[in-house]
Amino acid sequence: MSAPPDPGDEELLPRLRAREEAAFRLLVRRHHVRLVAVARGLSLPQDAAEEVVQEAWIAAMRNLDGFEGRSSLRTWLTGIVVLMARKAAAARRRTRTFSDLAGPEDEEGGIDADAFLADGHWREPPWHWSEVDLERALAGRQVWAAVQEAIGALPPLQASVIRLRDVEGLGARETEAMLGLSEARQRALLDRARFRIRATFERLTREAPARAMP
Amino acid sequence: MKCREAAEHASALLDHDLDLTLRARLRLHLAACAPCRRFAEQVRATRDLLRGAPAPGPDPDREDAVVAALLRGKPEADDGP
Repeated sequence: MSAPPDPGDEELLPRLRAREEAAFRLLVRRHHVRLVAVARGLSLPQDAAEEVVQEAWIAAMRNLDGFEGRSSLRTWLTGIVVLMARKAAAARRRTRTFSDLAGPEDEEGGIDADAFLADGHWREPPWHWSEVDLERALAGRQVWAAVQEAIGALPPLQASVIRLRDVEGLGARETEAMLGLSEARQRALLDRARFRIRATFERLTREAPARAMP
Repeated sequence: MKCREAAEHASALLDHDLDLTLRARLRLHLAACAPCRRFAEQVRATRDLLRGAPAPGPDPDREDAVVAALLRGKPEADDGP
């Protein structure tokens, strides 16, 4: 009850080092679900992802001295989960590198070729929608849930790249270090993933009933 | 620059990942083309929605289990060796 309102992750560090339960709880509440989503995205089933993330929590909190503050605590945690999840996925599936997960669909997607005429102009201009329309279309459903569903429908590499780059907000270099995908490869995968999810959001807003016309 | 090429670069523009010439050509096209501006704006909105969506907390049981494991400093006891 006496805890100060919403201390930032880094402000929690002294309390985490002191192994204070309330600080652990706050951090777990804030990050556990998205860390499990990261682990699942590296081709682990739900129960294995939960297990990996729990182990990652323990490893991270034991090694807080290894956190040098060069990145945010959130990014540091994500890096530990990626490392452990890749190891666990490799042990399960005997995939050697992350790229082995690539599906043929990873090379596809992007903007629908039919969207353009042969002369390179739009066949039909993009449907008019914005963030507000999407939130209305979701009708109270959490944006988080819609985002997870949209990412879940992507091919594996596109999903992992967009999760780290856009959901987690990591840079290209950090992502390269975690996934072993070059910046150029990330560029292509990220573009296709964003275009696909844009199209998903467009479909959601188009299919929403009683949409007010602008 | 045609619309098709402009749209394909709309994502890289967000990450400042276009060389100077290409960026200038794209900006010129966007200034003149409303459909492409709309498309580029929606790609940005998509990125922002992904980044901004707050994750829900875990189930209370799961949260308790993880916090308990952290306090113990090891995973839940199991039947393993």
